[in-house]
Amino acid sequence: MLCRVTITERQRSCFAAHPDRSPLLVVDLDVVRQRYEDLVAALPGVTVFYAVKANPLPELVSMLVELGSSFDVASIGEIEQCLAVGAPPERLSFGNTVKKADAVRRAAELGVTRYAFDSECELEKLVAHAPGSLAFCRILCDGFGAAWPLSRKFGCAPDVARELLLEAARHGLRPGVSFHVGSQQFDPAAWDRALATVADLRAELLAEDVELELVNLGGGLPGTYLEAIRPVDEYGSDIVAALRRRLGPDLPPEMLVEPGRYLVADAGALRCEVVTVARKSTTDEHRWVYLDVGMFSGLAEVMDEAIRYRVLTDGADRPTGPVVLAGPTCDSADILYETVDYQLPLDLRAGERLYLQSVGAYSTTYSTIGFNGFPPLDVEVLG
Amino acid sequence: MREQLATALAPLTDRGVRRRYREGALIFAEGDRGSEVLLVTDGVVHLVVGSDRDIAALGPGDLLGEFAALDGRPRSASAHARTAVELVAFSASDVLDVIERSPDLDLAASRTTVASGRRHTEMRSVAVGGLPVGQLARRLAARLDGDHRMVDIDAGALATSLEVSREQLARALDELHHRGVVALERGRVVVLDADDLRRVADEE
Repeated sequence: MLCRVTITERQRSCFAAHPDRSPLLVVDLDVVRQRYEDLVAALPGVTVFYAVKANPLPELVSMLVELGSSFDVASIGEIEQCLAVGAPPERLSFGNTVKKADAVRRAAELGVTRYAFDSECELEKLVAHAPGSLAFCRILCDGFGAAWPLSRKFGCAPDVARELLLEAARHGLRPGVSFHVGSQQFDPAAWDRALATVADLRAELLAEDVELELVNLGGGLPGTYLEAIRPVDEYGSDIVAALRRRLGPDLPPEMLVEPGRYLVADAGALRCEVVTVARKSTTDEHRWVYLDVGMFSGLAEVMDEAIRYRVLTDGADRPTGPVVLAGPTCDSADILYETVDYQLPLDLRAGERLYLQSVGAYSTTYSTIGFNGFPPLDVEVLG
Repeated sequence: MREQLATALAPLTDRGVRRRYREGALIFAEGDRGSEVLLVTDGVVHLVVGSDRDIAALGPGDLLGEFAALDGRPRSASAHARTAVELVAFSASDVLDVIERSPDLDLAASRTTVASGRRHTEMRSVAVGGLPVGQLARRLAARLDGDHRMVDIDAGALATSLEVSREQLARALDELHHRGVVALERGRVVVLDADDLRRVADEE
């Protein structure tokens, strides 16, 4: 069985109550709560660290604090935000492998004890400013099967990780490993392949009498875009089975997962307006549909057309034809979808409203602060 | 080949990476993509196909994983640490280097050995899966008539007489086809290699 999402009744009511606001993103926290509870149930023995970067709305983070979530944070700003709404520092993980020494020092002062790293340079900062902490080294994964495979910006080869972790242990840090199977990962077996590498690394550390104390399974759980996805309990059972198979029978003391997109993407519905419909040539059947929202006002994830939002219109059974979707700015890069086949009604006119689904992740803060004079994305939160 | 390669690698442990596993740990899994060759230095490793069938127990000085290093195909069996285990992992390139330099080893011959080893493991793997491959092969072999290689079959009746489901029978036929022993046509089986068929019948 595959999952689809809908715009919730609460979101529809909110749009109706604000007829003049466009574009408008409405985030329904009930969806996030349900996703969190489903994920916790699907991954017994694994702690959920919400990747705050996916959507740092204060109401959302506060709710997750109350639900008992832990948090993957990328900066001092996110650490302070989580602490301010009541997250204890022991429930934070500084997951960015690129940190200024001052940021490490400040995080340690604030009580953060988990840190990602992937290089000698970062390790030196942890040794100097976060003594005794859990230092987890990120290893490179192939990202095969993901809609948005991650670049080589983060992580190092397993043989480099081995030397770094042995060095970390020599300096009194507690060694861990993290990996990321790629964002919007459709293949649950991706975690098994990565865990096979983790198991080799763990055995190599053990041969030097160093125990691996933490395994961080990263993010990658998908949101629901054009493609339907498998339910999370299927991912969960595959991941738990892979953990037991690869790292059992003596599982590492701490195992964690860092979902961002999975928890919040489907909670966001965006209403926008058609600004212009244009035909560029008499021979091309594609119409260009310009919206009042685009790459610079919250939809940066359309980059490379990897994340494909579902686009809905009012009224059923209207004949459709192919379109190119673009944003409103005077920037030629502000195109949402040119190669993916989107179809919209042939009678679509300027002023009509469209709805984009699953816009809750990497949208609110991905908006520029005033490019071309357009304001940042307007957001309503339904608590 | 395995013994000679183990002997050649034993003095070279500093070129590999040491690993230690607790009792019960999985060292690698059947189907994994992995090209390292592992030399056991302490403990007992069991090679397992399917869910629970042991096909070999290996101890200090024994080698495992050389199939994948030499033919690039996935691991043909899982390796489990039956006790606490220590081993040394060598890269495939190191192993090829050792073979090339050793007067006792020959790469082509090694690959041939690996190919036959794989066949043997696969056969055992299929037996573990509960498929009636051996029974089927015996039944087909019994119906071979001189040079006549066509055997007409009625899948429903054959499945009933072998006391298996039609699905299991189909998978067993597929397995024989996969091994190049038979070709499948509608309502009949073409035996491509009668000797191979008899060998499967004997071994399963």
